[in-house]
Amino acid sequence: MTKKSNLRANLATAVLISIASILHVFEGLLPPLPVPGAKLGLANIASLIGLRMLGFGSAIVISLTRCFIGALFGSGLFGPSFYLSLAGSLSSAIAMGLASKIKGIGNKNIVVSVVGALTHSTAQIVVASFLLSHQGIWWYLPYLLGLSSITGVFIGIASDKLLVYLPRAIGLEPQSKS
Amino acid sequence: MQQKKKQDWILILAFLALGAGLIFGGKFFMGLREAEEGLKANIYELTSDGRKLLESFTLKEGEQAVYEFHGKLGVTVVEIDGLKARVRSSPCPDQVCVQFGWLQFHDDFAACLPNSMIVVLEGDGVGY
Repeated sequence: MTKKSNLRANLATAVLISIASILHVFEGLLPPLPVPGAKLGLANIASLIGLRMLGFGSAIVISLTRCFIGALFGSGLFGPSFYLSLAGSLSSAIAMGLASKIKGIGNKNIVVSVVGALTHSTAQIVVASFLLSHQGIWWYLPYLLGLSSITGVFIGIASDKLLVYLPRAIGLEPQSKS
Repeated sequence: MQQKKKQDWILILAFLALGAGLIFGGKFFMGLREAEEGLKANIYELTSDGRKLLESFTLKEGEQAVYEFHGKLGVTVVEIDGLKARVRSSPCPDQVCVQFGWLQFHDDFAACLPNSMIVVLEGDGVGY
C-alpha cells in the first residue's frame, strides 16, 4: 500500500476509533452469549480494517484508544474489566499484526481475524485467572476458543466486505471520479 | 478468482469446525467431572493482593441459605440450594456473575469483577 497523506491517515484513524468505540459499547448491550463474559468481538472489525488500510501502528492505536473510551462508557477506567479488555484487545492487535505477515495466508482477513480472536480469549483468561485468583477458570478456555474461532470467521467476512467500500468512503483510496 | 473463492470456503469451514470441536470437546471434558460429596461454597472478596475468605457453606441435600455480600457497588445475593449454589442477583451492570447460573461441581465458580467477589465450589479433592 502506498503512503497516503498524513492528514488523510489521521482522519481515517479517528473515524475507525469512533467506529470501534461505538461497536465496543453496542456489544455490551447485546444479549449474552452462552459462555459468561464472552463477546462477539465486533470492535475488532475496526482494528482489522485499520491494520489493512493504515498498518500495524494504527491498529494498536485504535484498539488502545477504544479500550479507554469504552471504559468511560462502561464500568470505568482502571477497574478490573478495563484491564481485561485492555489485555484482550492489545494482545489481539499485536497477534493480528504478526499474522498478517505470514506468507500465503496473511492476506486473508478470516485467518487474521481468527488469530486475533483466539489470542483475545487466551489473554483474557490469563488476566482473569490472576484477577480472580482462581485456576478453575481454565475450564472455560476450550469454550472461549471455540466461540472465538466461530465469531472470528464472521468478523473476518464482515471485514472483507467492509474493506471493499469503507476505504473509498473515508477518502483513503483514489476516487474514481472528480 | 475461482481458486481464491474455494480457498476461502475451505478456511471458513475449517475454522467453524475447529470452533464446534472445541466447544463440544470442552463440554465433554466438563461433563466428565463427577459430583463430589461435601463440597463447600466459598465466598471470597477479591482484593488487590489475592482473595479473602468471607463465608463458607458446606453443601447438604435439602439445606438452603442466602448470603449477602456487601461490596463497593452494593449487595450481591448468593443463594445456596441443596447441593448447588448461584449468584441470585447483583448490582453490577454486566450481570456476568448471574449468567454463570447454578454451580454444582468442584471448581465451578461465579465471579463478579465490578463488585469484587467470587463464589467457588471447593472440596478436599484436587479438582482441575
